Amino acid sequence: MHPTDNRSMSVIFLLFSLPAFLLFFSCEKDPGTPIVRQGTAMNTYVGVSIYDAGTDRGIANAWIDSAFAEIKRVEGMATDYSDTSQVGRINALAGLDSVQASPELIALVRLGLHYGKMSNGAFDIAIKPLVKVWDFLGATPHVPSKAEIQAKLPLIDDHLVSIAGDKVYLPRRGMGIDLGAYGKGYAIDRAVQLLRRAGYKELIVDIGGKLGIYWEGTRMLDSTAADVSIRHPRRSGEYLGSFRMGTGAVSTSGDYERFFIENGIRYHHLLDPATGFPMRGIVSVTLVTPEATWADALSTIVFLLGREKGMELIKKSPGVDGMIVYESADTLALDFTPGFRRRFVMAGSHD
Amino acid sequence: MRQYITTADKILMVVSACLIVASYVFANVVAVQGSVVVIQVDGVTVHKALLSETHRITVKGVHGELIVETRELKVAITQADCPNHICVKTGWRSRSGEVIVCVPNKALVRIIAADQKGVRATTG
Repeated sequence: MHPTDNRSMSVIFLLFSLPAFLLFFSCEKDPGTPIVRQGTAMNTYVGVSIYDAGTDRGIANAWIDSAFAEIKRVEGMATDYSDTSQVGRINALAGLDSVQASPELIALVRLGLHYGKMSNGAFDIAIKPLVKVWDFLGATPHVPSKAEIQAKLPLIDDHLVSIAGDKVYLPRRGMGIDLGAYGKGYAIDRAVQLLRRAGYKELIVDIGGKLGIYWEGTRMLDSTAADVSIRHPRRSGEYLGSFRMGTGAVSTSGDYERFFIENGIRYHHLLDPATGFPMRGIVSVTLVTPEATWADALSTIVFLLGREKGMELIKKSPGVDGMIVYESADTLALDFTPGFRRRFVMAGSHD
Repeated sequence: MRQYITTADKILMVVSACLIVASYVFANVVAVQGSVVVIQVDGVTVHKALLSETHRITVKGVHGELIVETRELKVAITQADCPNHICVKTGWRSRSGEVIVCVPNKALVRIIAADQKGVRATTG
């Protein structure tokens, strides 16, 4: 080989390595200082960030106030942790009377019933009596007795939920609906729509790690607008990996969000309506979809369906990509959709 | 083949390798070490601390007291006077933009990066 060839090799090496260096300083378009606000709602944190360059901060803050107000409005309507919300009143009058509900809430309940049908009962909005027994948000959650769980199982049946006109009725005393599996996603979609209508073109709404991203001119995994990290399900403060995306939504449902450990066994909040116990087989599900309501609901549904049926549903859902994390011989294993596999970068395997 | 690589070629290769390593170090260490932990209660900032330092901070929330600890480039609420301790169970956080919240205490612990470049979010 001639020395000139080696020199050429060196130049080529430099040409390839320089972009790697420049990557860290220039490939992420500097969006300037975003306008970021954080607060609490829906029993978790809420973050709203607007990245549009040259935005008037005062006006943006006023719109962010409106976005927060919209999220709290959805919570006030759909929470099952209050007797005065529409859902709270429906639950409180179960077995006694029907309750008038807004067209918006009726549509949300119908959506939940649709999810139940679609999942062949793996997902059930009438899960509330079991959620109450497990009390994951309580001071000292513990494993309920089998008798306690058995007593609640006949109440877990969304086929019993009756909608007539603008009224919702739960026919058995003790029944209750819980829209928590997609309520955050719905609130995200509402807030994103509000900020889009206000004219903002680059923004993120985050409710407890469920994300709605709007980045004008971009679409889902075809874009590199935002860098989304996925928390490690077993190592606090660490990350499983990351991926980049543009306009779309992300949701992760996992056994590490609301859980307790009793006698060395992890009990989490994603309950199997058939058994009354936490669903086993999956550690977490992360999905990217066009809308947050769908991302939120589908990540829960996939978790409850299990690995095979869950991945089947992901693959036949248009515009959905993602991954399922599960335990295999004391280690974590990952199932990907082809689109997500191309985008996902395992922690420590890049940069 | 070895005899054909000149000193200039070697320097070029070493410089290139250094650039890659330097960029990695900057992106993953320097930027993180400059991060600040901001603690807010009911919308008011009550404390700020460097993520790179070791601190044990007592914060008065609206429900009771919380202990916020920073160490090894991570932050956590390690104790809290609240009914369900979801904030404590949240564990440690280390990336800019991440938040730990204690809803009953209306307390937010947030990491703000010194280098705010890029658009980052976290799921899970």
